[in-house]
Amino acid sequence: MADLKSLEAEALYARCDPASLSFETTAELQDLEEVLGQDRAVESVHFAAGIKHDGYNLFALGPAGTGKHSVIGEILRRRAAGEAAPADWCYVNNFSDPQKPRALKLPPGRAAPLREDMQRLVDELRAAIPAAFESEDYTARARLIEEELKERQEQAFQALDEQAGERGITLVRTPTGFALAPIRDGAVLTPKQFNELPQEEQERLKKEIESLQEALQEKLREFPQWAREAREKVRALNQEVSRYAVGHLMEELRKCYEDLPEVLEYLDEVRSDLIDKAHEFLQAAAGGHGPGPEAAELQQAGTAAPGLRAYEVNVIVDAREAEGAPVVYEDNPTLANLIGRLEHISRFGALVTDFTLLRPGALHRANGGYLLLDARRLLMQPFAYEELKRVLRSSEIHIESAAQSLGLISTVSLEPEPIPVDVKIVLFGDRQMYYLLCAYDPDFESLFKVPADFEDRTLRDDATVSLYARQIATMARREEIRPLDRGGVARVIEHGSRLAGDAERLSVHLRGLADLLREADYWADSGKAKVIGAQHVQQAIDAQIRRADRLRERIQEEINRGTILIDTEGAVPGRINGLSVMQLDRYSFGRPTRITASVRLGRDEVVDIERRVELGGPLHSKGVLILAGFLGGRFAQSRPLSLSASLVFEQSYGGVDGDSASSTELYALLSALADAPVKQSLAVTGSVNQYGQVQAIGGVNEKIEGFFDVCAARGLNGEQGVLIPEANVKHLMLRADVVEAVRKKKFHVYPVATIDQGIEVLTGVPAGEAAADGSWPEGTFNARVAAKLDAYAAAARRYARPEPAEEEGEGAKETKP
Amino acid sequence: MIAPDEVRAFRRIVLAIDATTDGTLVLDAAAALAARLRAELAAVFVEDLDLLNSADLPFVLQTSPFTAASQVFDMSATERELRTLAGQLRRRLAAEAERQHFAWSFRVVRCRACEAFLEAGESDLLVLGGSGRALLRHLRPGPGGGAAVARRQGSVLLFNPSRRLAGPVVVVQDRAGMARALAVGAWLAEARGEELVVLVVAAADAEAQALEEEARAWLDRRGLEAELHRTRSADAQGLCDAITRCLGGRRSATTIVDADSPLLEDPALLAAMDRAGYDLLMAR
Repeated sequence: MADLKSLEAEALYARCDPASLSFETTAELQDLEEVLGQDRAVESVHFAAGIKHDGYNLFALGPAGTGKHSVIGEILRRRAAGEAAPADWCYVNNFSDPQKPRALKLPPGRAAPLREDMQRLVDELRAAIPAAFESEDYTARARLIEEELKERQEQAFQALDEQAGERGITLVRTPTGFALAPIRDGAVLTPKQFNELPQEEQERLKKEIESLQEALQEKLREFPQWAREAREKVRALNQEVSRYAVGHLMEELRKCYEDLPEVLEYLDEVRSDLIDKAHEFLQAAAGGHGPGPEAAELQQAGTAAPGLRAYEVNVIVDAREAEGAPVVYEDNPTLANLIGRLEHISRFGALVTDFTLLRPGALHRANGGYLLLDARRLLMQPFAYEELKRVLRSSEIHIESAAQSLGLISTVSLEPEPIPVDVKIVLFGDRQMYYLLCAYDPDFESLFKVPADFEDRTLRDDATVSLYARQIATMARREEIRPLDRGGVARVIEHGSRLAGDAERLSVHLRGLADLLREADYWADSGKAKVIGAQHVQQAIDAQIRRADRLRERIQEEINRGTILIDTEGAVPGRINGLSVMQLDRYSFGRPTRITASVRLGRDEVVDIERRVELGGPLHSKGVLILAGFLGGRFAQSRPLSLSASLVFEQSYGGVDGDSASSTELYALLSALADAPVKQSLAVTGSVNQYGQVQAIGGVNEKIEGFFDVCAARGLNGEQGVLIPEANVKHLMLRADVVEAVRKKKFHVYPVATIDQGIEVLTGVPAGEAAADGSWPEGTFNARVAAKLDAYAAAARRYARPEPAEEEGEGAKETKP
Repeated sequence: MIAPDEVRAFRRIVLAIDATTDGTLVLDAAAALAARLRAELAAVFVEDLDLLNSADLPFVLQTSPFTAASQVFDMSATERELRTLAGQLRRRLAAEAERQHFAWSFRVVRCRACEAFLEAGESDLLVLGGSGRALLRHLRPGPGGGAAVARRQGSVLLFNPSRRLAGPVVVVQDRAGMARALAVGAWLAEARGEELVVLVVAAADAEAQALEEEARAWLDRRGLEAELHRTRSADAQGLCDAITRCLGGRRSATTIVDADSPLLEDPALLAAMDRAGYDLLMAR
């Protein structure tokens, strides 16, 4: 019998002694300011936030629920509070090119007052300009100009008429113009009267008319010029009046912004434009929005008249209430939500726009601070990631629709002046996404130089346990739930180790921890307890498992009913109980699986049936090849391995992957070769290398519990147990009932370091150690294997010997030339 | 209330139009006035003999004021244009009369413009649209024009058709005992449902005071209300400015002046009124 001892109960569970905790309840503990177990990530965040060079943006990678958002958000918010508030930005009309709205940068909190000041200015001008244009002074001067023109024209006609009258000619108005005709006694001559005139007189009159005609034409040619001059005078007058109406209001406004040269420049442009376009205010005064159905539509829409909108200020970033730099989390990072958008309004069925319809995006709001984005959501939005990279490369935000940037629309639209941007981007994603981006996006590494890799577990020692307790206390307060007593905290800590799958580690999956605390609080409330105790935490854990373990229960049920064949008694050669882990969402459980091996004469071939039918993954195949390597290395140094073997996971209908069953398969194969029965009361897990060393695997706790449940259901007989890799002992955090069964010697957990150790436990046959010549001691397990292989080799040689040659007949052909 | 015998009510309105006035607008405005005053509208379309004779002279050319280009001035073409225009106006008047229910007539006369008023026949109100045009020229006081006006028995209204005879009624009182303009103004304001304003024109305060009191008493006797204003300016422009002030800057009004008022002797008055946007009714 092998002398490998099973583990003591104490080795199966790293208990947290409530007595070791120096508090009664978590209410006594201070909040945990630092971040538990994320030192590396926290350093990265501080580094990325502190370094001012381009490209040092942050990618927070790690499993969901490890507190990436909350930790980074908290760090950045604290940091941002001490940084300068960002500048205000607004878009204003570009009076020289309205298609290209101008971006104005103002000190924090100054944009909104500018918008209000401009609104007030426009409101005041709505009254002031019409009043100025209705003043007696203006009307008199305007009328004077008009009269001057008419007078000038009248005088021209009058002078011509007088000139004509002196020559016996008059100026006649026709339906469409003027004519010059001879008169006598104030009446135009009839043709007969004219013909009765002396020939000389007729000729004279004709010449005079011709001459006057030319003079008339000459005068008429001057009329447009006179009209133009009059218009110029009216325009100059209008400008003078507008300047007067606008001047003092603008001066008051300028005083408010004396310290901002860009704003002063803008105000000067406004003044010039106001002086030129005072008629917009006259129209607005006449009809609110001016005449016509367009105005009615605008009035209905509550918008200003198109002309007056030119003086509005569209505030894009308003930092009036900012306390430090902005930290913005954009939950829906569409292209428009990132870089802003240009809205349109419907006017007579057509969509029109102007600078007042520019809307900011998250990048505008985060300018001067930090923008937090979920990488997966970002990548799912068309063009959003590419645009974000473009912004980071150019350090400018261009508000542009996707259709515009792709050139899909060619209608005239706005080209707003780009806004310079200085923002630190934080992307959140899992590790796979980070490494995929590193591998496939050539821009990624130059733009996101800093990874913040979040751990999902941390070392479990006294110091960490203390911090963990404070973390629990902090969460309890933040979640406004009952405090936990020492027992409750101890149980949470133990569960933290179980979640980490390691007795020496603690899970830092903060979301899971918070869930557990909330649910424990629910059970405490149900039990009318004032504090959360260990029993409430256990209730919460049990309930979580209960909610998730329908499938585990069904599988156990079918094993118990004999549908899935698992023996827990007896011994059979070539057949062994393997253990696998099934993962459903965040819940995993162990499941025993029968693994069988069959051997026959063949040519160095171990057939992995799972692989043949494409149910086995590459890691499983690797494990099988390794065990074949072990077999060859140990037993085929001096003989050919004339063996064919088949390995199969019985009743497995889904995929199998991982190498955690490779030692199990090797045991089954060796058992078949040695014809040594394997105890069915035992189950095995562990991978193996080519030297026969058993290596650590994952999910050891779930695997042990999976076999324990089958055995417990059938009745523990003291023989049952599980062989695990010795390296996994430190990971053991088994259920209390398993620990109890082990304590009572009703169940065993064997830590195995080598295949030979395992084979002795499984078969009760000594493995034997090879002699210097490679032979094995008689009666040992390995000797039986070697004997079987020798027999196969001999048989193979026998079959490989050529048949006696038949005599060559007449028809034999000469092969030599 | 105005007693019927105090004012010569406008029962028959004569509208004189020629080819140089903006016929359609004038016709529309006159039609609206006739409908409002329940008067008969007699339109007289004048084919100006001077114009036709000019067109008949082969060497006379027509010059466009817009292009300054001269072209042949053809008699037959001119006659055709006049016929077409008269036909259009006649049809329009008929349609307006049917729509607004007033009596109407339309006559085409060929005469010299200065004789058009005689051709128009007797009327309570002669309506002339536009200023600076041939017909208007003959209405100017002084040689050739004053005589024609003097021959009229009724009132004469000069208006700019683009304003459509709208706005308050301003009666200009410049001499004592001239209740005629006030009566016409009060009646017109009442008929049109418009505000009545009285502007007293007097060089001296005492005279202005007396005129105001006379006007006030006249109005009070009839239970009428009106705003009273005064001005010292008797020249054309000063009068227009005073009216503008009375109206608080409003640009449409009908100004009523007694036909015998010396104010009408100012040759600039008609043009000034037109430029200021005020129609002028010379009340008789």
